[in-house]
Amino acid sequence: MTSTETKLPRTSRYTGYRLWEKAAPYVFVSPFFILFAIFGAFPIVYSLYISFHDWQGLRPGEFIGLQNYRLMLGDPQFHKAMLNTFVVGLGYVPIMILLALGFATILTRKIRFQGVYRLAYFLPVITSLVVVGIVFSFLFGSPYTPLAPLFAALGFQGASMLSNPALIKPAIVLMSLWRWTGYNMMIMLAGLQTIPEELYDAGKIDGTSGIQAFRHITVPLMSRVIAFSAILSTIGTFNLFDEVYMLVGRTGGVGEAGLVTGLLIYRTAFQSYRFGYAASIAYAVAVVIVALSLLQMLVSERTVSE
Amino acid sequence: MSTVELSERETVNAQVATGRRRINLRGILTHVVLMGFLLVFMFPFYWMLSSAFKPLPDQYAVPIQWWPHNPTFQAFGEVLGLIPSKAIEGRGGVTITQTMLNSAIIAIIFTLGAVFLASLAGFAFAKLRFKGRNALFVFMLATMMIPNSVGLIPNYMIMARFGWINTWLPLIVPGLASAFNVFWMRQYMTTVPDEMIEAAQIDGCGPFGIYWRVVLPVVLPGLAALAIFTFMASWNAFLAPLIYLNDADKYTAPLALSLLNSVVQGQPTPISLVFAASVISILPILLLFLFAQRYFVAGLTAGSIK
Repeated sequence: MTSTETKLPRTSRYTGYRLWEKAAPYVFVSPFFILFAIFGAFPIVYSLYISFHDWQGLRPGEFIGLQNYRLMLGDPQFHKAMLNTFVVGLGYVPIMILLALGFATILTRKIRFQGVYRLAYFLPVITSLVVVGIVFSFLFGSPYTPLAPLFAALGFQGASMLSNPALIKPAIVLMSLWRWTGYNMMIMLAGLQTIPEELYDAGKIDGTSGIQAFRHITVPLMSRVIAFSAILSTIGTFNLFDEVYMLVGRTGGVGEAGLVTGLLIYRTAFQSYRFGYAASIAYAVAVVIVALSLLQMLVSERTVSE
Repeated sequence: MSTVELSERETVNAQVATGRRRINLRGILTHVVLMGFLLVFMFPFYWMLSSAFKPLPDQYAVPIQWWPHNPTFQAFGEVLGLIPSKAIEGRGGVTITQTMLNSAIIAIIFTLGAVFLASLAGFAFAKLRFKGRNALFVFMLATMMIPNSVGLIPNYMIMARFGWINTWLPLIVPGLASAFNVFWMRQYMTTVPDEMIEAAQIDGCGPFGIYWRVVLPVVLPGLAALAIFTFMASWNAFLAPLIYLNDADKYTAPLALSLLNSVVQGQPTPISLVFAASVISILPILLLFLFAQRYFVAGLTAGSIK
């Protein structure tokens, strides 16, 4: 490269260099943006277009205006999926945030086996969701589960959570707690690093108990991180797919009690091949997610400006 | 609550008065709770691993065998293809070894491509001045809020049009256009001091030279975190392989696991095989995690910005 350049006359080499310097940013971003345009931006717009059409599989359909959306609003299955997703989210997010904050508060201090606990709580996070779904479908669904004595003690009929529609959502909640608590603990641990140690020292001098310090120092100062984790996890609920698919199958389990929005979109698109309708459901779910993201931005901005 | 506070204050006072250590009841209690959760978090892993070593009759033993009484490597031999297996023959006859090789090829190509494209574009956004830079960046950030499920159906149509169904390309190419990756690299690269870049410019370094020889070496930790994050996402991906791959010999590890876990002609696969394959399939990520824990946590918790 340089050897050919040196053969050129000085002036043209200079203009060539100037030209490259001007063009370089565009050359650098274009490989990304070409792919982004095709596989990222275009599908977002095209999906909206499809949702206005009666598209069956890959066969283009007629323009039907808002009919897919009207259909959706009256579709009991859509209602069920939305409700299921909300219930699962409400079931695990608050418990998880409390657990994660508790673990982080304890494990941010130098205590014995700190590393072991952190590792143990974090390991589920790196486990593939398919494996998570497989293990829990055995633990919660198999007649040979080691949890059978526990289920019997709790009075579950049939010794299986997954054969009982009332227990499918709790099963998803427990699985999600297992999988995601460690992840949120890590976020909380990072957040706790920003609280100055002096505050706790001052509290100690005033005779503040551990629980008081948690309530009056940790929680208020962590409110931004807590909100972040909570909203992010709620968004995550609307993206649930792999582990639920493995746990209850593509149908959503007995009575479709485990039919979450992710499963519904997949089923509508790739089982029934109703592409137009599936696109409209995906858009409806996206509206919820974008609203949550905006809330998230609002929360972090407000607390930053404070 | 008030009694707890009182007793806490009393013990502090007592400590101050006597200056002696007390029997740390609270400390012991903390460890009991932490250990309890540790057992809960580890139990699914333990059950997976121990069941993988149990011969078939012992899976159904009553009372439950809490550890393998007659441990055998049979299941591992079968899923690795060392021992002929009816269950695997009936499910496409593909060993976990081959599907993991498939997964590895896909994940490595994907990771290299994603890291290169994201760092190149991130560099342009962080350190080069060009027209439309801010507009492009804001546009990219705005799309990050929209969930992937919106683009799912159009992407499928694009892949069908390109003739990419039942190939690995849909598992590699669209993911390269991740706005988050560019955002992540840009954030890291803005921390590189401008003086370093100016010094390199004076030494005659061109834009690509600055990217490759000056900036990249400085942001290596960020690059490593991104690489690990993308590798894991690719390795564990389930939905895309599920939608795009038809031939069992092209399957990735998670898809192969879900196939292995399925019921064929009324016959479920012996759970020891499913668990053995699951354990083997999480080993690469586990090893990666143990060797590069720091980057892992950085990449994963920062992935939460998404």
